Amino acid sequence: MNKFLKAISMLLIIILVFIPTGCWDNKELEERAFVLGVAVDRLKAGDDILLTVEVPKFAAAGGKQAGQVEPMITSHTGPTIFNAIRHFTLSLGKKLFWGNVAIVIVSQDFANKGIFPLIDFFARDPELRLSPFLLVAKATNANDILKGIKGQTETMASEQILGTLKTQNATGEFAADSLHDFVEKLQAPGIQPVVAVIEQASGDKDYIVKGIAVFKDDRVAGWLEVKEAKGYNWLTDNIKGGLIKVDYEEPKAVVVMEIVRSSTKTKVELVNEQILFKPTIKVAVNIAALDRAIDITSSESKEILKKATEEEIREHLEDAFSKLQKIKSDAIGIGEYIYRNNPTYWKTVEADWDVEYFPLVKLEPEIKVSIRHSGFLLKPTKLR
Amino acid sequence: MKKLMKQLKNTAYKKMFSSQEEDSKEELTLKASLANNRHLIKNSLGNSSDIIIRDLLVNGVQCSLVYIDDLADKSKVQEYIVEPLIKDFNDRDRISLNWLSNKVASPEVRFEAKLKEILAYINAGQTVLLLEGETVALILDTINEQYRSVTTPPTELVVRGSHEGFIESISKNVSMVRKRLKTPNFRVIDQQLGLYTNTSISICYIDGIAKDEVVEEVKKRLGQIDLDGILESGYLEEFISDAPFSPFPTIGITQKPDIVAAKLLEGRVAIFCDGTPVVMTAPFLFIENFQTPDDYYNRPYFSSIFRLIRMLSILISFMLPSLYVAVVNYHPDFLPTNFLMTIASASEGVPFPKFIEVIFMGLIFEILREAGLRIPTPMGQTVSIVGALVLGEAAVGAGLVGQPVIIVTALVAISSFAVNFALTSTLIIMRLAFLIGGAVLGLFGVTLVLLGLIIHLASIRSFGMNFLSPLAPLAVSSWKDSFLRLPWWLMGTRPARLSENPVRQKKIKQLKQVSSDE
Repeated sequence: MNKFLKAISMLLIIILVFIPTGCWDNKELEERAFVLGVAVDRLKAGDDILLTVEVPKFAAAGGKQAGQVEPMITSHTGPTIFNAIRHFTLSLGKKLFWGNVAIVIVSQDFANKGIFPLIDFFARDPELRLSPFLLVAKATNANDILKGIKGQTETMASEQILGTLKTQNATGEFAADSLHDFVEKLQAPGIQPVVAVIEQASGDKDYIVKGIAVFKDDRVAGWLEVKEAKGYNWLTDNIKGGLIKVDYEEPKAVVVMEIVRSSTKTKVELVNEQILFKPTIKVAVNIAALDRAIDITSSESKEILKKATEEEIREHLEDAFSKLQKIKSDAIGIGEYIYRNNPTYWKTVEADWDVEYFPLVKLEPEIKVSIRHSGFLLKPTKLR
Repeated sequence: MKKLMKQLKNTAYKKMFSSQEEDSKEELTLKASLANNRHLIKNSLGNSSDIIIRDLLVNGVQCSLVYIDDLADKSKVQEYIVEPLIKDFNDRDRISLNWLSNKVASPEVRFEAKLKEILAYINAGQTVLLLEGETVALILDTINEQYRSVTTPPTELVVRGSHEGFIESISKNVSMVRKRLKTPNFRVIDQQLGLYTNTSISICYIDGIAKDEVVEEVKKRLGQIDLDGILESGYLEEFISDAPFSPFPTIGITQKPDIVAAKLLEGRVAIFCDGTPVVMTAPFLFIENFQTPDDYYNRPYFSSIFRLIRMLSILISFMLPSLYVAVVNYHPDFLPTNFLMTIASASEGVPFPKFIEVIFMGLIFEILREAGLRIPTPMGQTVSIVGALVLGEAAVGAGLVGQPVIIVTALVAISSFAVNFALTSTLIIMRLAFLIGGAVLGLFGVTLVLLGLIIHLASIRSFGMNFLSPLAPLAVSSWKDSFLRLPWWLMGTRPARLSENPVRQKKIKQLKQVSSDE
């Protein structure tokens, strides 16, 4: 081979190396609009999808307003999500970039009909990620939520909602699941996905996140209210903090316990065709507040407080469990536990698990509460 | 490329050989007639005006001193030669060169008959004493040894340790190293190179530690040099380095005698060149770019931390601009949202693509650096004011470049000063290569360039040593002094494969036991 041919073939090889590396995009930052939040609605008329996005709008660098960010909310419709996304280029002048989406809100309508199109698109497209958190807008349109947020703590509404979801550990009153969690639960046998619920709030609040939407496959099957949501979190070892209000009988007082640590170990037993769900919950609490000066230092009163706390937790668990059984959706993953530990039995119940078998499961919780300390005060401040 | 170079070399050689005349002075020797000898020497030096010939009558016998003004120290000529000789001597008849050599006060005396050698001595600053009736000349050492005093080299400052730096005199430089290595095994081999400059070159090593093959190889490569003039060790470096096309230097340079002493102790060979304070050491490994004398004089924690920081800064200096362009243009989803929004808001409305911005700022920095090096000191402030204020502030204020680019450029600039000074040009070349890779292909491109760089580094050698040693080929025993610097009492061996005699401390085993007993 002569030198020239050799050089040409080397060049071709080098060029070929670059071609099969797939698609990627060289775009300057200012040609991109970063989508931070997405709201998905189904239009009342027909099956068209209304897609609303929140993108930051920056002031030009070097100018007087340099560095300032403003939220911009805009929507487009289309027969599918991808169509709607492409329609944005018709009006924006920038290409939407989907790598940094923080939250996805779907409306109740959309969720009722199944969110599979959304999940599929997010999982399939290389630019999108499964990291954003999923929320269901209860009793309102998803885009109304996004539009209604004035931005109280953050400039961008999506950032504020993301912040809200990340502080789940302060209350434990909802479940913050990402699209990734959703997909994982959707695919796993014997467990159903859940999603946090966002609602329009009255007064000076833009929105409120509370409760859980329980799915059956990709459709909403029912709702867990605050107390049930807390119970659900306890059953799934998802409590990282929060408060427990306990009534003290003699003398009558209200004691607020703050959860320091909580761990749940679950066990499922099969006794005479009866499935027993046995979660062991260990909770460490601090006494956070009293509404009356009562003596809480004695071992008897501590014992009483412990019992009362356990009772309170048990009530939460039972509420959540019976609600889930009523919804007929095993969001706790009891089926998954059986699938892992007794696959032969799981095969016999798999087909009708959620409808037939799950509602008959018996809950036998074991709760161990330990009171750590009572804050900076040993005895309550004396009133004179 | 190689073929082209070969061709160039060949034509150069041919030209040289054809132009080189037969040296007619080679066989000429002195005659018995003084007038004839004087004439011969004067003619050979072309009657240059700085040749001084001093005629003397020693006890009635005619003799002449020949030396070059200022090359030979006039006070030495006066003190060593003239003063002892103008005395009256009693033994009138026995005047001979041999007799004279006992009378002069010069510390070094040689006899020489060949004209060529005599001329070389005169050019070196020696004084030649010719005597009527003798066919041999007396060479007397009167070399003017007025050099710059020994000072701290401005490019290699240390906090702890010797502040001595080499000067322009080769004999002084070699003695500064020998002062630190008081062993009979210290060897110096002299050589003269350069057709017209006759520059003195010294190869130094420690017998029994340095590998004989390396010493021989250095001698062989130096012997092949056939250049008309050697003015600085850089001339030699280009001739004798293993990978002449590589941007990475494969020969170490330093201006500090303690560094040379330390490298000789590791089994390396030092090459001194007259007329420059820069001394070369070979073999030179990649890892030496991160080693500084401070590392060895300070406690191991200090050394190890700063060595890691130096490695980090070379990575920053190589790759930060390319990573910035690649991540921002191709993979913005790698960045946390808040960070991305900060960058995005800083580049909103900037008219140029990121690649151009980075190149632009990098170019400005290099111009500033070069200007700072050349500018007369009183005007130095102007450069810093113009550079910092006008280019930094104004460019951002006018929206020409984004602030992140300024930060990237500044960080790269600072990092590039944290590594070996000899790498400066390497850094610029590699940075550009990475930047183009990153701008064209994103992180994939950066990875490709990095791969190419590693292949290149692994493929080059320095005097028989793999450049990447002790990383590739792996020599864990040398890791004592690569990423971290272990305490001296743990360094029982010299770097692997570098030395004839790898044992540095014979008692290392006992020492280890003592420390573990405690």
